[in-house]
Amino acid sequence: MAIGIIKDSDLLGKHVILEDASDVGTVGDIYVDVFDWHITKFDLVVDKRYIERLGVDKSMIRKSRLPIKTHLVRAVGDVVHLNGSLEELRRSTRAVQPHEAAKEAPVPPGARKDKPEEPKRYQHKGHDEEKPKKL
Amino acid sequence: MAEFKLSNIRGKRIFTTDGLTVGEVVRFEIDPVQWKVRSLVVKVTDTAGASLDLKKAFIASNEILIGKDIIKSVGDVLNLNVSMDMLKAQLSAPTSKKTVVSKR
Repeated sequence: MAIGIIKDSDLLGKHVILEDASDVGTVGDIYVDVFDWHITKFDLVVDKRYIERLGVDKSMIRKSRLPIKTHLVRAVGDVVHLNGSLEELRRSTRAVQPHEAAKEAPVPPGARKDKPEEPKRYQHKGHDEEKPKKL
Repeated sequence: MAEFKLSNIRGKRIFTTDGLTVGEVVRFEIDPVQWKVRSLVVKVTDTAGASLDLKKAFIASNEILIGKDIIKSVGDVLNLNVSMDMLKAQLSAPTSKKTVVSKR
């Protein structure tokens, strides 16, 4: 059963489940656009079993996190249900992770250095790069 | 677009247009279907509580719900687009279809 209005603290820590029944982690930080108070994304704190399978950066210090756009969420109840399978999430993750994009487009050894490079474009940046502007 | 972590807004102080402190944000109420923050739960300071005619709780502090519609700006603090008097009037309004502020 879907739930109505919830507290942010109720959302934090909820398990995130995919269509293929993978429990990929829990909800971390929640991001809001204060212009219209729309919740744009949340951090998925990735379960260690899925770090490599999702191709997420492994950190020795902090838990691995993956930004999840809220339009990918199918329902929120006792858990957060995401649309898509582990494979689909992995594919969207690869679009997010800049190091992966770099791996996919290696510079050929004989490439001219004076050749202007195409600007790299990612679907969306990691949250660390999106520091909120102080108003 | 100004994107904030909710955890970074929590604890920020809220001010009215007349420069008075209302309190600080303690949590948020979220609509998980529309993915919108509906309102902010604000822990009211004693002074603001007296201005708003809130009964002083014995142990717990007073909390009010502030709708996102009356929030003017978010930065180091949150500015409302109403004065303390207007806030009080909205708090004591019997019923309105669009609740901007409500006692908890």
